[in-house]
Amino acid sequence: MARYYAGQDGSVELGGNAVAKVVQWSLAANTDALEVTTLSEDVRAFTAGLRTASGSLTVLYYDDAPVNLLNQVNQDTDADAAITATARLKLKFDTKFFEFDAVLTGAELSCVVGEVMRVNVSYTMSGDFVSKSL
Amino acid sequence: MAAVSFPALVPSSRSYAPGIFPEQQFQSQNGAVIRVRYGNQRYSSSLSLTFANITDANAALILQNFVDVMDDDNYAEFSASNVAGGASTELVPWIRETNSLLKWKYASPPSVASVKPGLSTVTCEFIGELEGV
Repeated sequence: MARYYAGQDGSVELGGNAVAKVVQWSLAANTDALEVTTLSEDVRAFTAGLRTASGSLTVLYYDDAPVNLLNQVNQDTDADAAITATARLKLKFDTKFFEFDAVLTGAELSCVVGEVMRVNVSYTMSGDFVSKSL
Repeated sequence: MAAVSFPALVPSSRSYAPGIFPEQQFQSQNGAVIRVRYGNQRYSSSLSLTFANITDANAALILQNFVDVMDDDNYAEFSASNVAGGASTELVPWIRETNSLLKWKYASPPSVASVKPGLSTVTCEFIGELEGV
């Protein structure tokens, strides 16, 4: 039976350090479709354009909160001198992974009755994948 | 004057206007119009072409065509399979200006917009000028 992967196989690294209490991560990779249809054609034709990727991850806000993640979103260089314009993210599931530089574009903290406080972080990949293993 | 064939590229958009006739209008105060016609040939037809997302090599062919046409007293010649591609047979003579004495010249240099590595979008503006009249 082929090996399958589930949520328990997933993890995230930020700048080489594991991010604790990750609930979910997602990655959406896209390629622009550039139209190359000419006036002599009846059907639209396309060629590949620029590639992009973006996504989000959700982290539970425990005592070992992802403060460095939030500081990275806010570009708070006073809090952490190691913060740069882009963050190196590594999205893992078991031994497979996507590694890339990303701009963390947003953080949403939510504190809800009956739920553990959590942080949703969104990102946009900058440049191509540094490495990946699928 | 010599014809210079346009590269074998079909545009992604095309806009044509047949030009005007040489005339002078005089309008009296009561609104009546008198037209003095100076010729029976239309002139200054226009043709706008866009070649979207073509290879840089094909964009270079258009630039070279611009040089070949404009560096001497030449004119661009279109065929039914390139610039007039996709047009019905009734419309092709208009786009090629084979039904008139007009010759296609570049109204302005082609504009090349780079889209991504290796791909460009080129826009061309042509004007039909009376020749041999």
